[in-house]
Amino acid sequence: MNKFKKFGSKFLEALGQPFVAILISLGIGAIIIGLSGKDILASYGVMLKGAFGDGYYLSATLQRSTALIMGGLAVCIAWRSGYEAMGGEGQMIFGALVSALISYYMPGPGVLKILVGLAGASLVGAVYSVLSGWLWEKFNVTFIISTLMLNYIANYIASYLTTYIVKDPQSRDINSIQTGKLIEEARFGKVGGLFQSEGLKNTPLGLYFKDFNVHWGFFFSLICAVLVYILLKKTKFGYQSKMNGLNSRFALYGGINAHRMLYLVMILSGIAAGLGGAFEVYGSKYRYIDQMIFSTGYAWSGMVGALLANFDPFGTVLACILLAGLNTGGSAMQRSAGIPVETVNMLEGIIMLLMSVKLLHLIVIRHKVRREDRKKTEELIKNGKEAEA
Amino acid sequence: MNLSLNYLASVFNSTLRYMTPILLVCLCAGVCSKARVFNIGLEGTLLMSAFFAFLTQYFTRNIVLAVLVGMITGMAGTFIIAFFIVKLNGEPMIVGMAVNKFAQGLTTFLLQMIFHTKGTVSDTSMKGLTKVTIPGIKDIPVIGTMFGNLTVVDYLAFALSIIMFIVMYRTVIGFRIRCIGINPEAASSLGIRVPTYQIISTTLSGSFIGLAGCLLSLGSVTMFMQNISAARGYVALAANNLCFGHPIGALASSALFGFTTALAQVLQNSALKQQLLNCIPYISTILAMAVFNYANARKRRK
Repeated sequence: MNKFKKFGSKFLEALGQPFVAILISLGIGAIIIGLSGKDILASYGVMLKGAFGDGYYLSATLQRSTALIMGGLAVCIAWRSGYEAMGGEGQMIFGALVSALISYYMPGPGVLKILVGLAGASLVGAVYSVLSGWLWEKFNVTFIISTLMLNYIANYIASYLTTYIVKDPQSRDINSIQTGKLIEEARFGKVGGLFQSEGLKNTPLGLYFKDFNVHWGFFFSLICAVLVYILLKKTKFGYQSKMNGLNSRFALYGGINAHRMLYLVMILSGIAAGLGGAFEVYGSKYRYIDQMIFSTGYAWSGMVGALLANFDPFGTVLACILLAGLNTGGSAMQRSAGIPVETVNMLEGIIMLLMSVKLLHLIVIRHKVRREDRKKTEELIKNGKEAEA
Repeated sequence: MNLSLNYLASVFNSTLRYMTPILLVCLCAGVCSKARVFNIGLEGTLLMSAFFAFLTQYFTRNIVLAVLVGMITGMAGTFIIAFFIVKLNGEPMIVGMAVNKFAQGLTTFLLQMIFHTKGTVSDTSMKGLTKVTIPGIKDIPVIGTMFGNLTVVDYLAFALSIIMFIVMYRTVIGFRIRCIGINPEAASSLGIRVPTYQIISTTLSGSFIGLAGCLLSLGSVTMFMQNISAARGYVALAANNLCFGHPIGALASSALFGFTTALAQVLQNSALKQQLLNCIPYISTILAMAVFNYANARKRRK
């Protein structure tokens, strides 16, 4: 019984906090929608339907969540180890650009193009991530400043390259700043037709999944989540990095090589972010388009997801799918109700703010302290009475 | 390139105009770092105050009211950050990023709802901040260019950095705030109400961010566009790191960043393309911090 209770409280602690945060932010969102003179329930209905309503919308959500999950995993690895790096965006931009270029210009069969492109994306992501680690170790430039600045630099450099150097040769439109489109063989295939066999076709499940069509990148990101889980929870490195995050001095005292730890963590998180950019290219855009990562805010939403899940890989996957749903649903809301999709940004901000303070924790702790105080005073009174008697 | 004296004077002038928003934000960051409130929500606060100042001016055409609204927005944003960090014990990084993200969403949302656009809003009939012309100086050729086109708030920014120096280093309140930064427990044992001091001092300094926001949207150009702050909040954070939160040092470090931004603008007609020029302020931020920290570390070792 006790064990069950312990598990229950653990479960509540992990899920209650994000749940409350999301609920409150949706409440504030309702107020905003109400103030702008729209029907609240109808808007949220459209949002829910546009996020998970049927197979088509679900696949849009899952496709969007791919990059989010990879960005979130990158944050998981880095932040859990105590390095509060936010360079996922820059790494993702370079990952996307490099993979798009390699797969466009390299000759050879499609599979090889994809494989070399993925390798290139992870390499460039790792290098860009290590750069901020190096700046920190060697020159004491804090992670916040170096990574944020590197994000802007990456975006401008990628923009420069796509505008002047590697612009799509076949493009007739001068205003489209993008690289060449990948050939059919050098793209991720799609997974569709789930539950469409004769027997299942007309069941609710079959009807729901009728237009379901998700690229392989989403499943690769799930595999990455499993790998990160194994890495963080089941290996020596995972334990060491956690110790480093909890107390770096203790970790140093315990014989952990801080130098090696820093670079390993940076490389791994860089690879995750770089791959996220590459998945986006192979799965949905098939080319690098200027501002495609910067303006969509994939890396930032991924970070919010990781925060919601308290840096747990599987939790990050769930939270990222939810956040992606918020965004695709938000787009649907924009189309039908005219409420800009940026509202979702606001909601994400509020969720982050509420997650930062461990709201539920505060309430529970206060409650506990009060109860214990009461108990103590009661005991004192009782003891006092006994002494009198 | 024509390197006449007049040309250099105009570079100096744009350096001044680019540095003042950073200086103002840097002063706020200085107070925050001295009071041990780690604030990276400067960027979002700046964006929000720029927006609300613009909005007020757009609808009321009352510049004083617009500046006031900007300042109040700055104070409100900083108050939320300080309250969440100090009172509710929130993780500072996350609180700051949350405010930045929220500001981004809020400004774009309101831009869409009120002006029905996602890009730039400008109104030529709108008046910006009052320009100051010093009577004797205006007609002197070079010096006239150097100090032309500056608004009241620009001059106020320079004055504020001196005022903040006096407040932080020559008054009891300033000593108490710095004492909190050095050792909160010791300050608390002396009877200083640490959380109250932290929240009030940072909130008041948030009004500087409001002024900086006014400079962005109502300064030399009266317009608002999506993400107008363009990482100035983060740059100011870096500038504050360089000067260790000292108000007079902030003058020097923000001048450095003002100059690099001006440089990017000056080189616009050269062979370098716009996108690469836009990198200059960001690259120089990293470089400046790296060089400065490295030199400092070496000095300390000796």
